Amino acid sequence: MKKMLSLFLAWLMLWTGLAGCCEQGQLSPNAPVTLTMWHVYGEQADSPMNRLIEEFNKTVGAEKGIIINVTMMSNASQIGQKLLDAQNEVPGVPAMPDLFFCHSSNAQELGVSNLVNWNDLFTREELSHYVADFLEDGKVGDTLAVFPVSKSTHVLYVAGVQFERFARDMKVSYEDLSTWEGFFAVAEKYHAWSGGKPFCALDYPLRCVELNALSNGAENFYTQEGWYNFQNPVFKESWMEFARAISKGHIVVSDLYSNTMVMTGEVISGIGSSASILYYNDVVTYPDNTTEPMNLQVLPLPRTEGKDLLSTLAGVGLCAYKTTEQKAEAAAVFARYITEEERNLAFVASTGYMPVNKGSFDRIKDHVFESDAYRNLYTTLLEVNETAVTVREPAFAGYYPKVYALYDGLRQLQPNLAERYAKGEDAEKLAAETWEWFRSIE
Amino acid sequence: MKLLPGFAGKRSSMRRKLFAYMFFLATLVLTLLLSGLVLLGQFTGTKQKTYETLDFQAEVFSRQIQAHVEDLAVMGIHLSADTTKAIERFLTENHMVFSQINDSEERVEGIQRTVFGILKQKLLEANCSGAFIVLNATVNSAAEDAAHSRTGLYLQRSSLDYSDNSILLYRGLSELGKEQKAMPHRKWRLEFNTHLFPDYARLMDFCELPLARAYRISNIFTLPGTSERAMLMTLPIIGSDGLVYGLCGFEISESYFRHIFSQPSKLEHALFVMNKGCEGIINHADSFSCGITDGYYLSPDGAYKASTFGSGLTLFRGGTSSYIGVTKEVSLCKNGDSFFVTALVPRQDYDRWILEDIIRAVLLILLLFTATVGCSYFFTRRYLSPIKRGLERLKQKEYDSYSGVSEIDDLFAFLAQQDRLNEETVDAMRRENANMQISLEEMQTAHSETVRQVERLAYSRKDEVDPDDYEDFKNGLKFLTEREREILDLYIAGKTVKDIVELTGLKETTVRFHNRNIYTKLGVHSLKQLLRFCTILQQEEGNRGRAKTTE
Repeated sequence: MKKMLSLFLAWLMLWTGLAGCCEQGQLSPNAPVTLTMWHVYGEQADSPMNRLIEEFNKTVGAEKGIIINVTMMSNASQIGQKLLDAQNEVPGVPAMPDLFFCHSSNAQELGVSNLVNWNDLFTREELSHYVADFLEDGKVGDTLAVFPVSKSTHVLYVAGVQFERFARDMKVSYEDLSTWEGFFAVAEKYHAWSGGKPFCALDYPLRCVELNALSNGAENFYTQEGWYNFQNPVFKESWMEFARAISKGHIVVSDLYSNTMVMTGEVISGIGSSASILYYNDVVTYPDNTTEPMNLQVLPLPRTEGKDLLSTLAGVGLCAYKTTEQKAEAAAVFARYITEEERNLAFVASTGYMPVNKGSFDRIKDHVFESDAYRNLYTTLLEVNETAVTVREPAFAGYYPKVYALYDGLRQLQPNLAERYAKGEDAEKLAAETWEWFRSIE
Repeated sequence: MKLLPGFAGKRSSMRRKLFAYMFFLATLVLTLLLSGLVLLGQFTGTKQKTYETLDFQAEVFSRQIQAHVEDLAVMGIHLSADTTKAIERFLTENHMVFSQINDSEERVEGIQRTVFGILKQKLLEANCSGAFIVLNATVNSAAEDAAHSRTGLYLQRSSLDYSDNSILLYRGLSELGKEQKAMPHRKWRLEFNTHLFPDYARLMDFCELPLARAYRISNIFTLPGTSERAMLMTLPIIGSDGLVYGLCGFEISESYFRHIFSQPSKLEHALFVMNKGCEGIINHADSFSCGITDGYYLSPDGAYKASTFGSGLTLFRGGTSSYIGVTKEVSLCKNGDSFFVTALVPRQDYDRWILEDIIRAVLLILLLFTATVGCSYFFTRRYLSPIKRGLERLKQKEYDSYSGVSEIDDLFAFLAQQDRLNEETVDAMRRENANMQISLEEMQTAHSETVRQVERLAYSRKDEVDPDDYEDFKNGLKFLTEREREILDLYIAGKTVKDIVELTGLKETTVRFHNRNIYTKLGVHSLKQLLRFCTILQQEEGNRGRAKTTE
């Protein structure tokens, strides 16, 4: 009797022990873990990321017990603030997601200690398959907080049909757009030719100013507080070049996205992220509801005359909010999945990004693209990758809110500046007003 | 059937019997307890529990949708009425009729400006992802496909973040949008394409007042240029003269639906689906779905065929997954369109619950069995230990100890009393026995003395006996019957005729008859002569026995 009782108790303890171990086990297809996600791929349009997630949920996710649920789609410029709001539980803002895409600066603002360190989840050998610069871009201190999934750069989009009509009349060419000098000259000619319409809308004008300043030899134009040293003369001159063009109405800071201004016919070119290609329409629609094809052309960002081409390394990366080990493991499975060589190439090729997996990068030349616009883009991206010197974006905490404040101010100023210039005011003086506005932002 | 040892009726130990009874009692009590709990509904099967949970969830989900649609209908009625007023005011102020809006950028801009504020306000007030006004006019009737192009405004909330009031302009004049702080949507177009507007022609053809009965809910369609699916609530915009100016209404996008209708649930994984017009099938293409508020959501994959699963549940079987669900019909608008809401749980979850229930039941039974056996064993031991100890003491006749059981202690006291009484009785008997022994010895002494006297007398009278008579006596002995011999032996033993009558139960006359025969056969004339011969004979036989022993 005693023996039986002991055996039964031993079995019971073993069973409950095993059951306990199973529950603590990281992933199980019978009890899938759900990771909520916010991303920036295809907001307002078609999202290749959502399709990738659906595929993941059906395959690897189902096998391993992971479900990714996209609870919000945003964009790279707004997601940082929304994450901070979610972290602070601002009413109306959806709950903090388990996975999200953001800049390194956003990661700093959220607190690196709140984020998973991907170095703990990937082996050195695994990380060696990723482009080293891209990994470096995601580091905050020693922590790899932002895992690279795709990287973008800034390019010049041109509505081909409309530009070629203008180019024929004004004897200009795409070649003229290879330098900032040529770019401003073409913008001036277009302004005159079109009866006062701006030539180009810039999504990130400050980045153009920085690259131009760097090309002209500016150094250390950032302050320790993560803003700009306004005493730097080269940097100031670079600003003034763009400010003069804005004051004259030759170029504009985009209302929100340059692509919408191109497709409404307000401008015929735009400088924006390579990922903007996802949002370009095939046609330009005018206020009388007539449309014409766009034939989108993608060019490298203009360079400073006689200097090397500089390209910006932009794009958000994947962060995982620190919750449970199970969720961290699930996040790593998902990160591996979306950056696997073949998949990473297919994903970036449909979204206008550069792959982060070295193998994907090597195979991009042979990829069959879905349209001419995408083929143009990747021809340009490869050219940029081979010829340009890559410059990382600033990653100071609190940097981007100041940038967006600057852009908002410029958007409000620019119609008035162009109007005053048309009435005969000096462009230099008007540009100086923008400099003062820039300086006023702290 | 083999009975437990305690019930077998065989001779078995008290411990076994008590254990068996206790086990039986414990089993009976637990069985009754479990039966009672089952009768009171404390234990229900997984299927029934699943049905109750899903039925409740489906009910809550359907009521939430009904309330939501009702609120939207109210807002829609206001939107339609306000838009009608604004249009008519615009027409009056500009001295024109509605048809004159066509082919004029200025008038289109004017009328869009007039209604923009109303639409934006309603969008921000209503629970929806977008709001629209489609006017039965176009800015350029000469443009390509102008017959299917309609001017109007379509505004959308820019995000599911409701702390953010940013608005996007999906359709309408981009300049006007920017002026009103509504940035053009990434896939902006100037006008609506009625080909891509669900059921546009039919909605325009069957516009009827009152507005309270005129709202409709469209089928699910994909918003042009995007991968976002949406459902529209539409209401006609009807002028005071009955002229239909267009349609207005609200959009519920799939993302919005998923966000706003996520259900609180104690289930780990659950899916809530709304579809139009088809109860027996769930097709992802024709339905909206949402998950639970803690984040779970897994989109249904393709079409799911329904089949009865029992207990009110339906099994939805798809290509890659299956669900168990409860479906309810819900009435959302007045035109008789049927909508169905279904609360679903993944089949694998249901199967896991079943397995867990079985494991739980087995464990419970094992636990109860173990507890029953253990308790029976324990209490049997506890109960019998003092009794067994008491019995051991009984064997040892140790009545003076304390057992801890009052009945046993009483028994000990009784037995001790009995013991004392027995000892007294034995003492009395021993004394009596001793007295009797003395009496016996005295009697034996007296008898021996008598025998000796007889022997002495016989010896002294031996010479007086005629040898022939004595010889006849000895010869006659062998002729005596068994009865006569018995009576002779009694005379020799000293019994009288009266004694012999009593001892043999014969009548006195019979005894006397036997006496005569004995006298005759032995040749004697009196009892005295007879006894003398007998004594002489015994002496002779005794002498012969002694001689033989000596030899």
